[in-house]
Amino acid sequence: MKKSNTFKLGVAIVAILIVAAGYFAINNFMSGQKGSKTIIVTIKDSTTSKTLVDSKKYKTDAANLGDFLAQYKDELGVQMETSKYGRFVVGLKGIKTEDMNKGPWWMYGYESPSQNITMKVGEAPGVDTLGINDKDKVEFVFMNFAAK
Amino acid sequence: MNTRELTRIAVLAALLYVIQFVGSFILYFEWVNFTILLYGVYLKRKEAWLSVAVFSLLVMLTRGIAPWSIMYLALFPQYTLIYSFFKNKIKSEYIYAFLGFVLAFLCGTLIDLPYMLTAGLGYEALIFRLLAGFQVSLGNGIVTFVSTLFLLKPLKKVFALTRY
Repeated sequence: MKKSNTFKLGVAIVAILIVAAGYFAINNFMSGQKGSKTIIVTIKDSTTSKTLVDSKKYKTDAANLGDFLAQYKDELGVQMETSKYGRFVVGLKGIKTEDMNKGPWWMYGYESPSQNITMKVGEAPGVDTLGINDKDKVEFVFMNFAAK
Repeated sequence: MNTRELTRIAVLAALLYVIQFVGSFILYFEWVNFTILLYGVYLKRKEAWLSVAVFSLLVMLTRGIAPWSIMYLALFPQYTLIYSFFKNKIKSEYIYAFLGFVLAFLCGTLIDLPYMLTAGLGYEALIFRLLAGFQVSLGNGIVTFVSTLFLLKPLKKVFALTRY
């Protein structure tokens, strides 16, 4: 291998390592608390104004909301689809988005007292991106437009 | 503009469209920024700008007119001007790789800017959205960096062959 190519390879490896460190630092920042925790879930259908689950507590070891939903798939009737950005919720408690272009869709808000974070319904990131912590509250709403 | 120039622009735009389409199935891997860098560095400024503008219009036509596709048109042709500005001043592939990394890293956030400004996101939601975007942007940036480092000079011969 030519000397210039060896140097180039070294630069590329160093750059990849720096970027990987940045990636995992962000991942670490966004990940939730490890171990057992309690999550408080509310599920509403705004199209019929019904509350399907009202502030019910769930025990979990899941690190993020996607894993938590997978854990309680049967009890909450969770249906998720996978995109290249991760999983997203299409159905809860037997209510499913029939037309992804027109809605209504499942959106959710998030409140974490321990992290001092509050996100309104429609503002929270993808379920695989959102790390969860003890006593976090998640409110799922089946709706057409995000609350402002 | 003659027929030959029009045809070249159409072919270059179509090539970029295919690269974008294939890359859209893979989260961290995209070659759009690297291809735009090649166009900016190795093509005439007008030809590079028009090729990327036609590509952006193709994306709008086929994927719909949305804030993100409008941002493609607002952003990517201008990237060719930035690369074109440096092409007679910089010869080092290391500097181009760094420049490519910066512009590829920024493009995700810039494309998302209309949504972030109009969605009325709270502070925490905005931080989360930016950080989640940065993760993808880091992947796109490093792919552009490594591709530029290893392929910029070898591909010069290919572009030289197509010169008229």
